[in-house]
Amino acid sequence: MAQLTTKVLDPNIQLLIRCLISGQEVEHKALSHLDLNTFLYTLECHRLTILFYETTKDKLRLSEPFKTSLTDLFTLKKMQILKHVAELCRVNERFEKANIASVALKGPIVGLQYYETYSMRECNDLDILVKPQDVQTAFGILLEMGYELTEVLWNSPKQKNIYHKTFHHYNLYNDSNDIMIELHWRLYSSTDIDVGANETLWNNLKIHRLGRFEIRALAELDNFIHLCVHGSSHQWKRLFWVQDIVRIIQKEDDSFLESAYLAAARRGLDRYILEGCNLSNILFKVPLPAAISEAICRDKRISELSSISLFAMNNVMHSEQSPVANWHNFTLASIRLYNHYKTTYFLGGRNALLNSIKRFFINPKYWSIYSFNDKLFALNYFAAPFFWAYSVLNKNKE
Amino acid sequence: METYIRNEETITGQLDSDLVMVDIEKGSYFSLNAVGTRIWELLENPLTVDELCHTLTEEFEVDDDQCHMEVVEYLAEMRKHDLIRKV
Repeated sequence: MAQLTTKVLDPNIQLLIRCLISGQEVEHKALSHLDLNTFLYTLECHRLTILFYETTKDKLRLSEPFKTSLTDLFTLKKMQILKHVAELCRVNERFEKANIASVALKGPIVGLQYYETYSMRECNDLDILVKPQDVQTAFGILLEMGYELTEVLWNSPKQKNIYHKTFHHYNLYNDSNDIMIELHWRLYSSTDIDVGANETLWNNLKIHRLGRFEIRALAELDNFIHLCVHGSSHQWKRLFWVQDIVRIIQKEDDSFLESAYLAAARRGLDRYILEGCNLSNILFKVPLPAAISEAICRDKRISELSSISLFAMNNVMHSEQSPVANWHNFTLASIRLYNHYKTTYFLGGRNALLNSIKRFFINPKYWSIYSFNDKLFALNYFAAPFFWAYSVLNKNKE
Repeated sequence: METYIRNEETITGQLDSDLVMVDIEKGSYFSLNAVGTRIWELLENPLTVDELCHTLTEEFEVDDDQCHMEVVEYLAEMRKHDLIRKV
């Protein structure tokens, strides 16, 4: 197994992991020495407030101020999930009426499948997949429901066309209920991954019941692969993504994991699976089937990828800060950028790296700074670095 | 005797001892205490007031008359918010 240690993690994260594994009274002393606000912020950043609360509420003796703040945060997060689940049902029904088949990705459905209840797994937005031919109708329905794009994505037909080819979802926000929806027309952000996969997954969907509502979700195997690809693509920076994998490994049998690994390997996604399994094992001590452990040992890149992910977990709290605000932020942002391209290359090879670099030049944020005429679209490639610098400086001003 | 059942237009979640419910269409929230939660659980299948009281008096320390009175009140309140319906 890869020689990685959780000791490189922030003490708050280490303690959080220990509490989730055992929830034992032994952590009481460690908790009493922590800065309350920092620990609560850690829970929030890693989207584990509810799980921490539910796991430890009868086992840990917490100080009164801590208990009060934790309960308040827990209540807030719980209400947030219920609001999102209700909205998922509403959107699903509206899509059904328009004969649009939709799939709920991640979110409460993973909670329903692998946690004690769907409200145990936190969610800050809804991810909904529709077929590419239905996306404009679905988009129109969401606009009718009060959603708006979070930013201008195109100013011309050429930009719209390029956006659809390069990216895989719209970000929509409804101010009246404070809900964000990602409307996907492809499962994965990288266009390399999709070949052949989208067709089969639509034939294998599973139906889940929420009240009287029937919600479609990915089949178990597709779901597991999707969660691993999603987690790896974001360097597993939020611990709750690893927790999903832990839950799945604990619930499914060894043959499931081996089948998932083989299916992923056929699509060139094996490293995503191995990294998810490796982190589950290192952080949460989840035993892995021998075949998976051997595959992790054989592939030295898994250890490097996991090491990058531990770094990302440590720094998730600083991800919104301006990179030019001070030297520390600049260094951190530079490392993050380097790690992003490094993991992209390790996970998807040269083509994935080239696609990722291409996306640096094709960015709707730049189009909203200045929109070239469609006939001069190629100028975007030359202007992108300047627009990038402008965006970074602007973020610092904000 | 009238029979009641849950309305399936709601999403529920446990908040310690209370059950929080969200009406999907209206987006409104309700909270039920331990007794209300138990009534809600029992109404997964159609039940009359007498049938509800029969179970509740076995589970909670309450006499028949008081239980009957409180259940009727609860059901009226739940109906007012469309959480349950008559079958």
